[in-house]
Amino acid sequence: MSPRHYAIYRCLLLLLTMIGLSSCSGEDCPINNVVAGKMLFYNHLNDAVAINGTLTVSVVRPQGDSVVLNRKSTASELSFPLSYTHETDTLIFDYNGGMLYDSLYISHINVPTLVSVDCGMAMFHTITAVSSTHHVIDTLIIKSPEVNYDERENIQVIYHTAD
Amino acid sequence: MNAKTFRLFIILLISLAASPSCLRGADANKGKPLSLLHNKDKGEKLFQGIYLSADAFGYIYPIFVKDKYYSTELSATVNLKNRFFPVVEVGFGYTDMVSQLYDIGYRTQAPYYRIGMDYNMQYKNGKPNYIYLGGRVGYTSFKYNIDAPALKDPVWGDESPVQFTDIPCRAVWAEAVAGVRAEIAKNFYMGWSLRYKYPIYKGPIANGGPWYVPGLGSSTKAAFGATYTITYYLNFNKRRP
Repeated sequence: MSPRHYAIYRCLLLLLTMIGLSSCSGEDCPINNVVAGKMLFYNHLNDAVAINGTLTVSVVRPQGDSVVLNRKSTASELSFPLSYTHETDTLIFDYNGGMLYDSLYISHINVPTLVSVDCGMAMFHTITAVSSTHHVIDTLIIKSPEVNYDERENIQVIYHTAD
Repeated sequence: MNAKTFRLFIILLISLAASPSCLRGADANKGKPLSLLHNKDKGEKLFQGIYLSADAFGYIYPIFVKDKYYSTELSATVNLKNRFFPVVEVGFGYTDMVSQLYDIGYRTQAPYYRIGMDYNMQYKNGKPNYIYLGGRVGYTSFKYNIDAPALKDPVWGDESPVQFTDIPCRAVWAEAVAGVRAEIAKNFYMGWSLRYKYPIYKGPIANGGPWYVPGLGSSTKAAFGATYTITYYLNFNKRRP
């Protein structure tokens, strides 16, 4: 084999190596593929607190309310869904089995998101405004508006008292 | 650096270590005094010639892997003193695929551009074969389409359609390049390069951003790429063999 043919032969071998090398690159899908908002509970001093008693949370739907948290004791946080098509969602907070109620209103933009062609589509959201009744809740603060796979704290719920 | 990237780096280093045997006459100057080789370089004209190259890797690669996107590119490289190689690359990237797992259709096609410079690591041997290191800056402006099954809300039960057309996007990226170019016939060369591509800017990001960017590839993070080129050399240095 002449040096020139040998060079061509080696270069073709390298081409096959490169194809193998390039095909190593792949897409890693997120381990957590649940999209949910997250809110944490605080008192006036900005200390994290737990609800003293039970908390039941429902989302209001045209076809009937859906419970997302059922009589949870000493709840200190809540993961909540946001609708794919509505602009504002209503969450009903029921404290201690109907003794007190609060309604939370969460306005958001829905963003259909291509995670990748190998990992699929997901509906992410951007929270634009929050408000509530004030039977037990004092203030709501948007901490991070983006609702996606990151599980960040999106909303701070500040109560009148530690209860 | 994760394990996968580290493994690719090891393969790259092994490839580079093996590459001198790809070059005809790479050891021709073995044993010659270094000072003699330097004197030879001093006599070189600044402008030596122009390499006109076509890349075949963008069409070969999709045959072997599942990513169904294609690209082809042409480049012009100026040879300055057999040592510095300013280069302009113009390519065209294309994909029209549907993922089997999620039935997501993704379509785009656009030109891309790169400018940069290579440095011949073996300029002292005076032969028309090169091992080179270099860098590039790439740019593309393109539009992409996404067509996927509607997203069904698990709580409310509604469906949200997923059909987006002509989403505009621009991308800028940097590439580190390592490669070889070997003469296979008079003024004809064959060569390859490995490229480490690092996205600098992609935007505006809408609906998760593009999956495939012409010239950059399908990864959202840094990724490896490659070229396999056939080159014709316009020789403006009559003294050169």
